[in-house]
Amino acid sequence: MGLLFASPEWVNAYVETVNGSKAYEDAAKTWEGDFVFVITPADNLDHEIRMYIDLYHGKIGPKGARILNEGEEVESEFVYSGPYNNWVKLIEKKVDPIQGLMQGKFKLKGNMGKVMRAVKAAQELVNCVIATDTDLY
Amino acid sequence: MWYFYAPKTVFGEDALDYLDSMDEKRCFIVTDEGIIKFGMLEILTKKITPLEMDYKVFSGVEPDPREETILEATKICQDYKPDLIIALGGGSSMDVAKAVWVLYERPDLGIDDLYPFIDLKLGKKAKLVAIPTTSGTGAETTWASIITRKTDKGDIKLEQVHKEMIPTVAILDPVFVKSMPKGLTASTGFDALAHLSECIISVWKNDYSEAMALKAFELVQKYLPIAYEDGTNIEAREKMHAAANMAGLAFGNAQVHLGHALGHVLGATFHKPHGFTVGVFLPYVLQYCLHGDEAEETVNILGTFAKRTGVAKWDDANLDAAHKYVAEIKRLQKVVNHPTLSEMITREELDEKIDMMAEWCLESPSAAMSPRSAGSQEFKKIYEYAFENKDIDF
Repeated sequence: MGLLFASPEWVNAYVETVNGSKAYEDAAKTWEGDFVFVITPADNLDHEIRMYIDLYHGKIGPKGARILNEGEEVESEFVYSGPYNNWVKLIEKKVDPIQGLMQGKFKLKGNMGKVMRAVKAAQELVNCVIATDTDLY
Repeated sequence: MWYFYAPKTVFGEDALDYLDSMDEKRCFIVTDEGIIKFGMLEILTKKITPLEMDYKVFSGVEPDPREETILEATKICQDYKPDLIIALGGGSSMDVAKAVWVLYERPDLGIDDLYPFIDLKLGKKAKLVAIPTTSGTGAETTWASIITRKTDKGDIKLEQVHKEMIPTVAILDPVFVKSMPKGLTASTGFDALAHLSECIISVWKNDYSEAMALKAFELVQKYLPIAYEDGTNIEAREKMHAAANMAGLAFGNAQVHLGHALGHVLGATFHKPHGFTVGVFLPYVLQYCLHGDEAEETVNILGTFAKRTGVAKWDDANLDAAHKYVAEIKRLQKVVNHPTLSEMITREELDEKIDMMAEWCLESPSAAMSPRSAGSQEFKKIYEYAFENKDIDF
């Protein structure tokens, strides 16, 4: 049995996966920037989840990763958001992070040019989700 | 959900006559000095002068165009205030004209803002007509503008993309390609071959692109050797022009991957002809994608493609058929005297730059479009194998 997607326990496991991923480390060795991932309610998810993640040179950054409390505000360089059903498609590799943006399944706030030079790294972050034992809602 | 974007396309002899039907009156022509020298600008201006179309020419496009060139052209364009921009030339002129079009219409944006997730709302000030003078880039059909930026670590190629940068009209008139020299015929032909071959197995592959790639391959296989041997063969020129455009439509909607990541970096580093920089890696990236634990889908797609195009027999196993396709690419390379990597750069140059080049490959959006992932070590190995003319075995 896996860990519930985007639960605090899942985030801890995901952090370990990212920090252990050679492929992510290789693809993101120059990346510096933090994200808030916003998962809005859809299908079996009835509440919004926001996850903060700091990424620095191919590892989780010093500010770490965690689920944000309701109403908690944090500054982040990027916000990547979309409904839960589209996150499931992302996890199942039916859509990739950039394709999802082009199809309007996700929205991105932040310097998009910077993200476009880190497409491979974004792909590896998704691969880390797949490599984390995950239960969906 | 996916899309198939294409410009209005006018093709064949006298396709340039399409301009007769346009109402625009102020035309900004983006081209290069070679186009003027070889009389191709004159062909265009002779066509538009009787239409009472005022025009201004920017002829400062260079190979691997730099962002400074785009900013210079944009300034002139903004002062001239055209209602029509014509890109006349190869991929470089198209790349510059697309970016100029955006920056002219949207002076609030910069080159780094040309990413695919915003509404540009182009077309309020001008239309963009693309008239290719080579048969290969497909840039008259695509959403990409490849721009060279100088950095502390050397030149890099920005791959800026937006669906609204696809030209309004593409005019494919063979009059502009009949005098292409042999080397340019070969390199641009291989650019088209790389487009169609990479896109059919990319992660964004789709049936519409594959349909275009099939016909494009048929035309390239038949007519590239003819156009190379006898540049005056107008049928071969016209067919190659169509093939390049179809390959452009194919990859423009499905994307290219490792060969273009490797090639763009090689081109930015050593300033070699784009078609050769991507063509030289084509057999190796296909072989790379046929290896690995998740190669089955690629094997089936490429094997079936090889059978449909007659390169392999229908009773061949898909893996054998896919390798026959790679062999056909190599045969065509020989037919058009495509240079090997070791003929393009020296061992010393490769050794000096390979670590940096492998790192740059990872920053290419194309690198993420491959059916088989590649990290910096894999990119280095592919450079090495290509340099040694050695089949991929990993």
